[in-house]
Amino acid sequence: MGFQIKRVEEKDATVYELKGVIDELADFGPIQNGPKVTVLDFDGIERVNSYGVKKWLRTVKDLAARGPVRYRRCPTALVEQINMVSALYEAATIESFYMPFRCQCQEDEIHKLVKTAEATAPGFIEGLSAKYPCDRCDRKLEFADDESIYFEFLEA
Amino acid sequence: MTNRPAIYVVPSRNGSGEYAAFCQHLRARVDTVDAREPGALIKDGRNALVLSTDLGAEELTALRSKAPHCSLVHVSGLSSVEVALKNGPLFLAADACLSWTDHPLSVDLILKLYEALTRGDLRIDALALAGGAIEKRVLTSLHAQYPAIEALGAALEAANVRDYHRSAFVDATVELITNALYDAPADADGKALRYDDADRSKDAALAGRELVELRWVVGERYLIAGVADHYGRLRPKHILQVLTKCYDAGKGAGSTLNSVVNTSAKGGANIGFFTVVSKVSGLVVTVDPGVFTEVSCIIDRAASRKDMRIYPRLIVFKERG
Repeated sequence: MGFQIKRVEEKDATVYELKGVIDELADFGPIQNGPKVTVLDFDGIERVNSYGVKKWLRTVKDLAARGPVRYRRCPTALVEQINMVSALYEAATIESFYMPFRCQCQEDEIHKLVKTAEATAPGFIEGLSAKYPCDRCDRKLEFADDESIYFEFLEA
Repeated sequence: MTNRPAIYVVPSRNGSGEYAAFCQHLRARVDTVDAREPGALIKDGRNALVLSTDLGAEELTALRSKAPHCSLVHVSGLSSVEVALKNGPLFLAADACLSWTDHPLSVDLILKLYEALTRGDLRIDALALAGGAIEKRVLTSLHAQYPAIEALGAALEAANVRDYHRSAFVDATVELITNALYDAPADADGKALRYDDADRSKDAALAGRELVELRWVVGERYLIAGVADHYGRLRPKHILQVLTKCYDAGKGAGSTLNSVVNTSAKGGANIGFFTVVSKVSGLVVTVDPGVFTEVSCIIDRAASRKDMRIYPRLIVFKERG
């Protein structure tokens, strides 16, 4: 799927819903600062390549220079990039992001959305593996990544 | 001198005990494992796969010059990677070895790699020993990469490859293709022809040496994708430079690759190769200077997302000629 942007106005924010792949073909041109907070909603992003990281970083730095920028619903693939290149989140505030979990009853991961405010609460990360029940069986979901690496961006 | 391949494990000087466990693990699979000092290896004169974490530069040089039949050296730690890169056209390296016994690349695959080496080829045809049929796409334009990647993704899905491995494999393959399309092409003086393209959203037809070949195998245990260009420019020092720069930038808590990422209008992001290394279990690079480069990435389907974070990566470099 190519890169798509849909603009949605909220009371306090202009939300840009991004879909597809952030790569050479991604055109961030339609994203512009307005009088309200700029929110980039990454829920529909499938993956990002290194060239896409470069374009994304140039865009967010440009936007952040003129006004506040927030990230919403960052998929796990983006969290990995954010941890690798901290400038990606230093220019913005992360509202919410996905976390990868696994259960013995299924092969694929289960991704759970969490607000950053909740994730930074004391004891949240320590209690992750007892937090969410599996939708298909009675077991608790197991956090699929290394906590010290995945949540590195929260320490900034 | 016998041609029967053997595996030698050079005892570690640091006495960590990891070697003993690894030897034991290997001995359960093959009967040619032996542990001895590098000097003994040189005298022995047999074909050998040498595994060691702490061979010094002088010992490696000695092995290279006096025992070319010791065709493989396995080292760990970036400094050792550097030593290996500087001391031979062929190496097998792990960038941060935490546990030999739990290495994500199985002993079986290490043995297969070695068997392939004794036949002199490490291109994906040899690696396909891991099982599965080879799929192939020739990229005849810059944008031909997109349907090729879609086909790869569909093949992974059809084979019920877990989502995390699908993503990692596609991500790594995309970066290898980008390198082949934009980094590899150069003129006779070595001047890059496409790297500085300011607008990579534009398509262009490819012909002759510009053609890029993507091949992949979806095996029961391993996913392998090989991307080949016809320039043969990749050198060990390039791999070392990229990895060193990224590892140095990433050292310490809170440190990231900010200083490495190229945000200028021209050129790539400079983090592609590091991204590949971070996504895969192993990389096999075969170069015929001036003729071709094939970089193959390997993902072990048995390794979990967490395993992939902490396990070492294997990097194999084979130069023809």
